[in-house]
Amino acid sequence: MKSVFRLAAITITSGLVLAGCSAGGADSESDEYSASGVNRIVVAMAAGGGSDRSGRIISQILNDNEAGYSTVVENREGGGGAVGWSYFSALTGQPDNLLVAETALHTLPLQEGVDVPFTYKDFTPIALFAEDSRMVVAPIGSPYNTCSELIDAGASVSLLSGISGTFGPDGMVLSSMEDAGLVADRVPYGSTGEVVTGLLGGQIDFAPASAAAVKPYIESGDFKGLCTFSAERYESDPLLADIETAQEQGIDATVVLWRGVLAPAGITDGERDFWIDQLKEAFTDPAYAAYLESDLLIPKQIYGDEFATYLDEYDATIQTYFTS
Amino acid sequence: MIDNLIIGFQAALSVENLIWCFVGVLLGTVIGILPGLGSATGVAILLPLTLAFDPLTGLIMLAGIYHGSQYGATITAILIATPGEASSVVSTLDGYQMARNGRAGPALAISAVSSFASAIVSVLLLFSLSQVFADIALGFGPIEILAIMVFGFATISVFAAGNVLLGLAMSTVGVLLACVGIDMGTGVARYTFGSVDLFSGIPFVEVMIGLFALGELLSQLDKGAPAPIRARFKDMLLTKEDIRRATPATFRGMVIGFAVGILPGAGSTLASFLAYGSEKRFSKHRSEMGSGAIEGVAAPDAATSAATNGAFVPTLTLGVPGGATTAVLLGAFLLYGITPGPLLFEQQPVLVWGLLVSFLIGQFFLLVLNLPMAPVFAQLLRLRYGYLYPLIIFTSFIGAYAISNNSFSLWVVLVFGVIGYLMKRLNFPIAPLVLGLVIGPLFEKALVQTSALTSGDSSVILQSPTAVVILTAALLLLVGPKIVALIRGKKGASGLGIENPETSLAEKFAGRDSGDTDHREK
Repeated sequence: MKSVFRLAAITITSGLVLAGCSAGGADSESDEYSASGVNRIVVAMAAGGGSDRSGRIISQILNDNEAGYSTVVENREGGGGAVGWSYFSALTGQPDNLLVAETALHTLPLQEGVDVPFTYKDFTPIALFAEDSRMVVAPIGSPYNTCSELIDAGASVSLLSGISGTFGPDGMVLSSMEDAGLVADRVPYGSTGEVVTGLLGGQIDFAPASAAAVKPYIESGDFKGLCTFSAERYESDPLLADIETAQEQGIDATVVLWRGVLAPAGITDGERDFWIDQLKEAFTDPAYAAYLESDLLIPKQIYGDEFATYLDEYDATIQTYFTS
Repeated sequence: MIDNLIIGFQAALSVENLIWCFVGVLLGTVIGILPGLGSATGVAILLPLTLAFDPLTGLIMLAGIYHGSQYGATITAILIATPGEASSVVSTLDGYQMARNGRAGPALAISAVSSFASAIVSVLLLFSLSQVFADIALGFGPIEILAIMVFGFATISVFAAGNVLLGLAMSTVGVLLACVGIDMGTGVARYTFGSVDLFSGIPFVEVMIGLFALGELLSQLDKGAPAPIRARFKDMLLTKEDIRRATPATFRGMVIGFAVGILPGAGSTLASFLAYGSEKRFSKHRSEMGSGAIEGVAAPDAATSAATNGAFVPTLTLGVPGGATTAVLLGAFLLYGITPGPLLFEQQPVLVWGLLVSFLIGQFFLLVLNLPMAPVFAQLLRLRYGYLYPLIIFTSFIGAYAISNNSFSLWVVLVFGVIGYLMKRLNFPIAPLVLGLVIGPLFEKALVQTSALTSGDSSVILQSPTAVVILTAALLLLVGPKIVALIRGKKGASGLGIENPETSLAEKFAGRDSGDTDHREK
């Protein structure tokens, strides 16, 4: 008899707590974020990462503008963005939510067994705020100085490339180089940090990575840049200005990544235009320019319909990297 | 080094930094106590709040949380067998037994003292030789890491509580559970059954909360609430004998912890398991391990503490994270506008040395907070379980929900709570399952990378001297004690955790032939 009571007690306690938690999740759209003007900027990646950083900078600028509302950043990470984006795609018609998203929105559904309930079309494009690219680096003692040398060498020597994210920008770079004749084995790593460790430890010969991630190591003399897959050189950065583009070296490819702000599907045109205006103003803030410069991002701002067209074209291009 | 210490003290010893360091370690202790809210989550949640601070102050507070959570996690591990962090799982093995024997006070105290001693030594190592250790760590590529993971698996026999086959089965279950999610190498989703929530795998922390916090709670309620333990105040204090026994264990734990900690990605959980495993092999009192030996608390806690600091070696010298929490801290550097990387020591000497000095200060705060509080916390066991369990349920579920704002986490806790209860009921060892969960993904990654590095040729493993040494050690760990026992001709390898049926039978026959039966016939 006593144990029945215990079981009842434990069920009730658990039930209460469970109910409390689930209610908290469901209510948050209506109660907590009312007309008082707290708007969420959802980041589908972990705190401290690149997406999170851009989300926090945009949030800060919007808040500093004091336009009668405020924003908070909310991290909903997991599954390489799948968890956060699935969540956000269900917020149809709720204009008090913004999403900071990126290229992986296109590449995630290409992965085998990854059935996500959204495509890039299930969001309302607001503003693209930067483009990024990839650079190919090697340890300073490497016998290869350019990407074309790597491609030539790969025919006779066995080369090892680090890669973080088969279906991400690293995969796009390697796939472009393979189209140009590169033969190299891919060693998968869990993050760019691990790839850097592999390069420092001499376990791999070269790897693609973002300019911002490798710059400290080029500066310290540990790595050298072989080529960049951006359309133009990083002219503004004295340290990276000498690194040739892949196209200069005869590899006819660029790798472009975008970072942008999206809203849920089904919001009205007025709501969309409101956010477009807010972000247009935000991107005139010096803090935004400083962020682009320190993260070696390529400045580019397009809004609304133009951004939507950009995403359509981008999605078509992305297919060419991974569907061969 | 002296110059650097002076720079560091000048930077760290401001009223503001001292206050936030204290707030950090205090918050960290609380975060550690709450199951689910581990240091990585705690730092990530509080990171945005520190953005208004001066970078050094912010980092000092975040590092304080990281250090403090290791202390807090052990408190609940010892008192209610509910580890606040994965790295405290092993502390439940002997710590909880000590508490059941009325020695919760000494268990908590030795945990604080070992952590402190080990932290101070490892911070001093960080000060003087971090560049040297970073170079050593870089020499550990996928092949060597693979060998370490094999070594980790070899310690399973230690945690199997006498039944090696069952232990192996449990660790296999752990490895299989760890297979769920998007595969790093190919991007393929495995065993996710179309659930978006499973893409990043079965969430580890939620599993831990379920297995330990909820599982233990269910089994307590099933057994009938445990009688409140009333220990005399005298039993709450450390004795000379305790300290004498814990000293070598602390030292061994520290060495293992620091070594594992500096390797990128290995982490403090593995360190604590390996430290416990080595105690079970090498301690003078190994036969008492599992039933409340003080070494079983001192060694893993020293290892966790040293690994926590060891993880700062790659973080500060190379700019690559040494573990999950340091990965978040690296993100914090960027948010403060500081680029971590190999030039950090040169470009930001005040920040780096100030931060390192704050580690020392934080450890003193933690010792002062935790040592006198040990007998006080131990009084918690006087409470009737009826008052404790709603609190445990509450913190478990809130903690799980806080990790990812996702009610999926709650179901994971619930399901694994029932599994944890059933395992306790059936006397299945839980520690090997956790070990499998921890090592599984690391082992797989190292295996995939090694295979890619060598085009599938496994003989390269034997060409790495480091890997060969580690693999030999793993083999010795498995069969060494058995061989020693055979040579000495002792019957039954007690406390070794390995029962090879064939050899034990052979020994029994040997015993009968040469021994007693003949005498009796005469």
